[in-house]
Amino acid sequence: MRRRTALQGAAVTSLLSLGSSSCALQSAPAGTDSNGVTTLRMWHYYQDQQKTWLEDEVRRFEAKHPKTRIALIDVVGDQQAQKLLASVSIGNGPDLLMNNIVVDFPVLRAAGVLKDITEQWESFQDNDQFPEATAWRNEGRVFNLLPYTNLIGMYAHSDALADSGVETVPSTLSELESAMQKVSEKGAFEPLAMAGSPDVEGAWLFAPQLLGLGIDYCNFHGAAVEDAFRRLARWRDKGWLPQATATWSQTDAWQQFMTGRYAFALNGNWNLGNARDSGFAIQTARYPASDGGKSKVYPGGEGIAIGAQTKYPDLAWSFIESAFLSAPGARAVNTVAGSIPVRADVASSDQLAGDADVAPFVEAARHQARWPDNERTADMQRALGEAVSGVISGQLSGDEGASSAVNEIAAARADGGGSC
Amino acid sequence: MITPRPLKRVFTVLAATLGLAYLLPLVWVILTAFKTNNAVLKNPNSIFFRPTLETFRAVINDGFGAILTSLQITISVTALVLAIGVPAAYALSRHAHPLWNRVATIGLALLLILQMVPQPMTVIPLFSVLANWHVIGTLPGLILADLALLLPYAIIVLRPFVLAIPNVLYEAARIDGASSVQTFFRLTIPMLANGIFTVGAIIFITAWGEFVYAINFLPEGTVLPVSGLLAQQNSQYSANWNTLMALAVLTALPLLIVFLFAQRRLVNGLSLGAVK
Amino acid sequence: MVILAAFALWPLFVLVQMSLSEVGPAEIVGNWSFVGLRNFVDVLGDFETWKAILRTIGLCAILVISNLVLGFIAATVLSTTGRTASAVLGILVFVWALPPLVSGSVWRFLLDDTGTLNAILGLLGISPVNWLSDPALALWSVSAVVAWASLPFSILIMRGGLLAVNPELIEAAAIDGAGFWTTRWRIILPLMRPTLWILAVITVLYAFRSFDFFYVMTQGGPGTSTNTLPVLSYYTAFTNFDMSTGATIAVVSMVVVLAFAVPYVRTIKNEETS
Repeated sequence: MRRRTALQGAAVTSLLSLGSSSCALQSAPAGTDSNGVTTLRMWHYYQDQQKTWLEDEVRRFEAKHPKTRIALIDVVGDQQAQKLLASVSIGNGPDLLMNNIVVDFPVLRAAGVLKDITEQWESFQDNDQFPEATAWRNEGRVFNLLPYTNLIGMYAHSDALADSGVETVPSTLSELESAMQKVSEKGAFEPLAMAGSPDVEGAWLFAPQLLGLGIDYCNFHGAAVEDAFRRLARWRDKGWLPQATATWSQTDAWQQFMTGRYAFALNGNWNLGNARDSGFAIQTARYPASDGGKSKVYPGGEGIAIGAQTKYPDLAWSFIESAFLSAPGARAVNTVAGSIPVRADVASSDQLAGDADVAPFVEAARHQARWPDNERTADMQRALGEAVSGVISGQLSGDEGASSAVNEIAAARADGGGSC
Repeated sequence: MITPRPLKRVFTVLAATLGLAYLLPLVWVILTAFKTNNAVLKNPNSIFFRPTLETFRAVINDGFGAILTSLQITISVTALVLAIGVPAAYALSRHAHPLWNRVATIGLALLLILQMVPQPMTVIPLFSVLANWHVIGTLPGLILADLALLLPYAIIVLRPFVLAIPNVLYEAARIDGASSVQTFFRLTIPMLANGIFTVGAIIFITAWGEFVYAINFLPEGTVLPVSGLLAQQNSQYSANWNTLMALAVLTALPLLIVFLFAQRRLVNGLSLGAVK
Repeated sequence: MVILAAFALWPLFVLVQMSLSEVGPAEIVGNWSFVGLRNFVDVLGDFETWKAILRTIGLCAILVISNLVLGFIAATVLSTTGRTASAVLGILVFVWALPPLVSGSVWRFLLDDTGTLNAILGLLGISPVNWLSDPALALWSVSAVVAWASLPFSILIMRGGLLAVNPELIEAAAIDGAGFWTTRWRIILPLMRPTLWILAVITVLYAFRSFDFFYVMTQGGPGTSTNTLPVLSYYTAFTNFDMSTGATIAVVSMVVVLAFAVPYVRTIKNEETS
């Protein structure tokens, strides 16, 4: 008998929870209500300071547009692309969205998630403040904007440099090699913390070693590629890169650098605030240039786009102008969230160019590389990441890594229609 | 149960060893929850540090909201899975007709294969099905999806418990003139108490941790369930280890309570069964 | 019941359809063009797929041994002792309730080359081992963590099965003079055969469909050395939404698992005819 009452109890509880939940778990309102207030749904996956910045911008916008509300909808970063594809398939896509542009732009574009914003962008009065690479195009049409970026550079632990007799922060890869040699001989510090995980992150950390020589995913082959992989194998063999690097993500590598045991780190501008709280002195520099080449990295960060199914493209665009393209928005994104705006007047201001730690990242953002326009860009990155991780772990020799990367990247590019 | 005395001592040692193997990582989780983010970064494995309650203070509101969402989902799913799964397992194991046997066997094989579809790959097809039924972005829609995911599991696990009920008891019931519905409620369910609690606990915990469906099928802009909230703590930019671990501790507490409650019940259920 | 079955069958149908079509991001919404077995030719022609099958079988073997053998011993231990057992069970459940994201992350710290485990080994004079970044070792390290994480589940089920065994049978055996382990072996184990089968099946299924620990701990690396079938399928399907290749790999793993399911279905049949 007791068993039955327990079961009945469970049934009643569940009915109650079903009933109560229909009011507790309800969607944010969207569209225009009876008071003429229009609510736009914006999907984003920002956390912490980045979210604070976005909320500030929404408040600033709503103060100027009393009849418009921007409802920020939290999604989980890893799952956003899938959820977007599914939502669009039933006609319920968001009005505005932020996306991990370097990975999912081709997918979202092909799946019809993004609205064509060519007209808006070209008639935007300040668009000459932005480099050409800000507008992401497919077949000549603009679908996505990257008005501020997050990108990688080099961090150096000042005490480790002094301890090992390294006088200046290396600016080329061969200077970095000789500096790592010194650090490793002295033995008090480990030479380098970088990400080497077999995914887009491993690829993104390694690609700049070739970008400065003019080699990107579109022409990924030749002697320079082999040299770069052999160099990576050399770093591994000399113990400059611990084997554990082969599974480190950027956050893992940063965690290691923050323990204070490493002399150098290759990591992103978003860690600058954290680095200043670290308790040891740091210096920053651009990603070391390849010998005979320039320092060049891929831009990363969040793209902003208008959803293809929005009913309010004009309102959505005015929010983009206010938060993402205006000078106040650009300044705030740096002070609040630590990102690097590319808008020329802000980038050259004292706030950015005048800060010695920030300046290298601003420089890098101005000379950024261009991502390929190919549906399989993410596969190419994954292929490169697997090769990098394979070499660092010792699963592959330098030459094996190079040939695996060259072949897999070429295959992915062909699968994606061969365009670049 | 009778255990020889020397064995009992060995068992206690074994149990303690097992406990330690699970306790040590748990200790790491708990210690990290009391560190500042900077302390985790600088020395993730330190044992001696100045503990702070700051992390818990920061996450308690989010954690509480997430627990409420998770409870709504989990209780509904567990109750429904048991309400459908117990009779289904009974029907698939107690049979009178040879044709029914054949159907049951094929049914079970199908259930097994269904378990093989990788969950993330079912999201997009399910999305359009749920949209057709106008339950996308609602709690019932999510519950339905979870039900389809977990029910086969529950039936497969319950089946051996049903089979373990001695046939003699059923014959006795038939001789007493009990209808099959009466037999089910008066005999099967009490005899299955162990199985029901075991499976209930498993479904509860699985539904609690379920993440892919929850974040895809819940209404937009609602408080994420525990699993979703935890997943948010790691991004490509930073990993808030202390927040993640504090949330993990906080949100595991309700489960622990449920388990302790279920365990007491389990002992009661056993003695009841023994009297009969 | 019928609705639920249809609901559960639908994804399977879509999966098979995807594996026979060309489905990229542009086609997810819209019509799929039928390409016959081309995806299967591509997938089976890739050496990496075969290596992934072997790795998955390796993981599977570890899990089956751990869940069944260790699980049975541990369940026996925990179904007999009193207060210690409840405490240990409480810990087990607590740990089991932690999502893979959390427990996987913890093990990443513990198994790091400068992590706690190596520190302990260092105290014993053993040099550090690169548990997760040595390509020869990583698969086994992650498998061990997966086994660790799924053992509580198996213990709980086995313990439920053990407690359901009629105590009179055990008393009868004791009166007949059977020793403790003889009773386990001769009386309890045969009675638990259905439970053991279920566990074995669930374990195999789990090995062939779960990827979360790999996702959290190694992302399939170092290099490709922990790419099991589900990991491969996940990354192929979701890196570029190449759904058809991902679906094909999933169908391949289903076929591999079906080979395991045959003996199970046969025992069910035997039970029913006897």
